[in-house]
Amino acid sequence: MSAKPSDFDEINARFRGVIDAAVDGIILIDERGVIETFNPAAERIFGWTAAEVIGQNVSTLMPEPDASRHDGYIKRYLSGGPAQIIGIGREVVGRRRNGQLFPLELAVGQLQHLKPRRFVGMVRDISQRRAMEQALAAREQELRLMFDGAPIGMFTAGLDGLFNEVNPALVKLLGYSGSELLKIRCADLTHDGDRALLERAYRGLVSGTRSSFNCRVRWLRNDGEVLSVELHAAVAGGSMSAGFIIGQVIDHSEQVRSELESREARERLAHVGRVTTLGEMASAIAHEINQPLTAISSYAQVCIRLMNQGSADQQLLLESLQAIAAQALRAGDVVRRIRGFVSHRDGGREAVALNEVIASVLELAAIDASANQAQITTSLAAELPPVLVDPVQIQQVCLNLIRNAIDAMMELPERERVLLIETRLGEEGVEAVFTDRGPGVAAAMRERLFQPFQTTKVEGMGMGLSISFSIVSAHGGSLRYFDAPPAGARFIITLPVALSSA
Amino acid sequence: MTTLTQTVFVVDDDVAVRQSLALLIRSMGLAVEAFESAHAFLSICDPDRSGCLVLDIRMPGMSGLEMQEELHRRTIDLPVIFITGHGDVAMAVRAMKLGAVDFIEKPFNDQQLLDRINQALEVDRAARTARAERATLASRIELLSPREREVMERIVAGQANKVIAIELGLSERTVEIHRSKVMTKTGARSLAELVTMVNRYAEE
Repeated sequence: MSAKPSDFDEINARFRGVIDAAVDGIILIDERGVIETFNPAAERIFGWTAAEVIGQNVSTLMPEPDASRHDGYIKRYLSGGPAQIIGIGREVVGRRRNGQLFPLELAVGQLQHLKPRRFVGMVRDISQRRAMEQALAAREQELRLMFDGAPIGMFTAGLDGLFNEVNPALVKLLGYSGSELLKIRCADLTHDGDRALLERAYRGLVSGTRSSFNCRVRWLRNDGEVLSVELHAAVAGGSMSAGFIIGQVIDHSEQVRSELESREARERLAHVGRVTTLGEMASAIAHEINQPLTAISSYAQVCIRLMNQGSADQQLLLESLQAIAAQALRAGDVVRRIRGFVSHRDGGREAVALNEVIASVLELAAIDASANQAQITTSLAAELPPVLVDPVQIQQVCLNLIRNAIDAMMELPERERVLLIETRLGEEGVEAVFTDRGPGVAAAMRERLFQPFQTTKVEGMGMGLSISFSIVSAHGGSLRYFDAPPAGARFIITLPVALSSA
Repeated sequence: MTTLTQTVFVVDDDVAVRQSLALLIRSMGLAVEAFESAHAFLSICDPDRSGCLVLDIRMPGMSGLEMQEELHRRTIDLPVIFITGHGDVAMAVRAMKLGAVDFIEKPFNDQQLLDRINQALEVDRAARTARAERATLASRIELLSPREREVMERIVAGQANKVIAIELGLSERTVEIHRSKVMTKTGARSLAELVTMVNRYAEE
């Protein structure tokens, strides 16, 4: 290439302009390492002015050990050693005028057409980028620590539902190794009964109709144990385009188990209470069963006599047999009422009318009342809203209150032994009110009335009211005592109204 | 006498027990009347009717025991067989103290029931016979003059005619005449018979 001097000047000036305007620092050195050109960007980066560094060795711009070795690097290259940097570029450490060291990206080229050769270095200050990278790394480290150290299970999963990453808590919870988990989908862990629910929620995420979901599901551990977990899953970045899901898993199994255990304990206690109540009623129940048995036995003996006598009174025979059949059913009915009451049931709650619960308990209570020459009168409000209860347990509470009332009235003349049972709608729910005419509860006893082992009865265990109280409380209701002037006790059961099924 | 027909009166508030029991007793060839309460029985009861009561010890309103007491007040002494259930021992004991003949536990064995009823009917028959005899005796003794009664009491006490004559200031002959009238009016055929009669009369 040839150029006239004027052309050269112009090219030189343009070239100069490019160098001066460059964002990267541009430094020209000769074969000895002496700086010949130092553009304004280089000045900004290193803090030296061109005038200060031109003619200086480029090692001024480096920290040790590169500074004292730099001349050697050049010599080795010039004597045919392999290129360490030329045409490669790398990250090195620079030194500013104030001594501060900083990371810089360096690309070196050689200007071979110039004689003697020159080297050009392009430098870019990457201290800011590096600081950001370090901050990001530190942040990532923090997140990693949180992920690994979290007490709850955490994971990320792909669109296909496969786990990408699982934290140690989740590994521990599920009993699989980390690598095993990476071959598993959330759905595979889920109890059959909850799988549809989970898959529906997951599809919502994938299709974008929701950005997160929260649900209670049962998961199966590696060893088959059923876990009750709360699963929160969200689309990373708020959109499925990010391509993965972040999940958190909270194990509620222990809580569920202890709830179950306390419910079971309460049910066992309630069952003991029912058996105890029936034990106290044994004499009355025996009487109630003995009546039809007596009638059956007598009718049967009538039949035997008629047949022995060769009596042709078919009509009388028929009537006696019919009466036997009816009385057998009557005895069976008593047994049915008792069995329904004492049976172990798993505390199923249903929305029922309190009036019906009371009507069914009256079948049983009538046995006790008639054995003790007491009367039960009722005043049940019509059209009460339903209550969500375990009917057997509420029957038990009612029967217990009825028995107490009858016991309390035994000192009264027969015609004054009257128990009134009312139902009504109160402010806090449906109420059943039991008012007797006995002596009421002594002031000294009142505070401990619902505590266990408090009794004034000779044969009592003192468990009845305490069991009743815990049953009603477990239903979210209350059992309270009031005096019923001029004399008598009044117990009020309040049960919350069942919400209409959604 | 008044004891030609005897009736078994059944009182039980349980309709099935009452009807079956009445039917069973009737099938034994006995006359039965059944009542659903103590009051129903008391409103028709007649001291002159012979028989026995089969009475439920537990009843609403008036219990068997209360009814027994009421019968005592009305001096109706029909023998009472109480029907008891299991666990009514204490009540049964009280009933026996008040003079019940017997009690029978439900359900009944018909032979036992029949035996007890027959026993009770026999007690009533005997009691009525005894009452009738006492009544006859009393009416005879009332025929005696005051002097004859004095003589009779001394005869029965074992005093000789001579002693009686001295104590009453009568002649021995007069005592003999009184003595003969006493024997005629009371119908006693011997001194022993007279002693028996007077003792029985004195029991009243």
